[in-house]
Amino acid sequence: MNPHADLPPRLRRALHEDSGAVAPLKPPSRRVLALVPLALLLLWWVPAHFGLRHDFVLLGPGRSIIASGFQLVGGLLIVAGALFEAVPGRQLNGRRFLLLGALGAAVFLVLTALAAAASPTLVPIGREARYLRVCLGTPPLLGAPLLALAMALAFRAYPVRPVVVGALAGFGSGLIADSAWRLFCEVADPVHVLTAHGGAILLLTLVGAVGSSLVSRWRRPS
Amino acid sequence: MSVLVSASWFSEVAPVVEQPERIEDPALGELMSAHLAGEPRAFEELYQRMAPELGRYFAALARDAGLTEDLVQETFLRVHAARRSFDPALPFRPWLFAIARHVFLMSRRARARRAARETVGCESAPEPAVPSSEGALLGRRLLGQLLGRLSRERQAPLVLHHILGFDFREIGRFLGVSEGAARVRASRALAELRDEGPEALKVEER
Repeated sequence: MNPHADLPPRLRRALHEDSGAVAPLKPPSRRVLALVPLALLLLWWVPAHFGLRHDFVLLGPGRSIIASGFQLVGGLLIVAGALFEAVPGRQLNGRRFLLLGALGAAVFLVLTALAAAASPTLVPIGREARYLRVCLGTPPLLGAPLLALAMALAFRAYPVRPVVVGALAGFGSGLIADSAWRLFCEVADPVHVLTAHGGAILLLTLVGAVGSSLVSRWRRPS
Repeated sequence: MSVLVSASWFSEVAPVVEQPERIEDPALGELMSAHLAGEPRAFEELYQRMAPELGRYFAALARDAGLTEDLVQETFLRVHAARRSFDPALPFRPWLFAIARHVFLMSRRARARRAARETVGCESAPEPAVPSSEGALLGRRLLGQLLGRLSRERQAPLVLHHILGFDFREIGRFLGVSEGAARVRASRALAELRDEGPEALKVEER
């Protein structure tokens, strides 16, 4: 290899095909704001379409919305982490990765505990499977557009650990979708929340990880 | 002959001619920024400056001259395609080498898949034709074999630090581990080489 030779033909071709000026990506903290309109739309649409939870007045409308808002912000922070991770040379180390995971889990668990203390609603007897199916199946569908947008933002950079990026994007999108879903689902029973709601978030995390890996393979070097 | 495998031994037998640059050259970031702005010569100059260093990196990992050249080109293609992800406020080399490492891993995975599919037996890849003295050639071959035995986690910090001169903070940043973890991995890799190196050398000398 003669490193001082002119550019090889492949590189010349690539430059010839796309040589225009491009603006550098904005910082992750600003790019993640692209998700905010969609997240707010979800926060409005879920109760508008499915109805408000029965104990909405008992819990206090302000407190319910603030609680969902906290979870939404937690989800956005985790998606911002995914966008940070997607930039080469800025990979999250294990501690930061765990910190993000713990942040998401803490927001989710604290809100579950607060809701259970304020309004301990249980799943009606005999309807556990139906409640599980609905609360496990619907939030991932609601979160799918958020995940798609988060992945599109992430892949505008160059994720060198696509599974990590996708998992974080999925986890964050799942938390945001669940923040809206909580305005409809009044069940505060920890078993239901952890299995159905937590399962839905986990499902989106897995979809994000697998989807990101597939996209990365599709964009793999020749 | 008993040979102590150490950082200095590693540097001697590694295919490195000049001393690695330990300080980020700000001109690299400026060139990349110029490329982002559409300056036509900037990319070519970046290529000329960084291709040798990337070549050394890939040569240490891939042990195949033809493949090394391909990987360098592929990395620059990816650099061009991902140029908007470069942050002019941050150093250039960690960004470049994070892409390079990813290109290498993808290429290795693709080669492993191809090898698994192929029915024709090709048990060993041809050695690169490196014109060198017998001793150096022996050392490089041994180094390549030893590096190949290291796990992926240990291989990268060792090569990046001892061959390319990255500091552990930079390595940690783009491998996604802490500075301490990168240091420990490189140190364990050296210890592993220390355990295996002398025996392997004896075999080569017989």
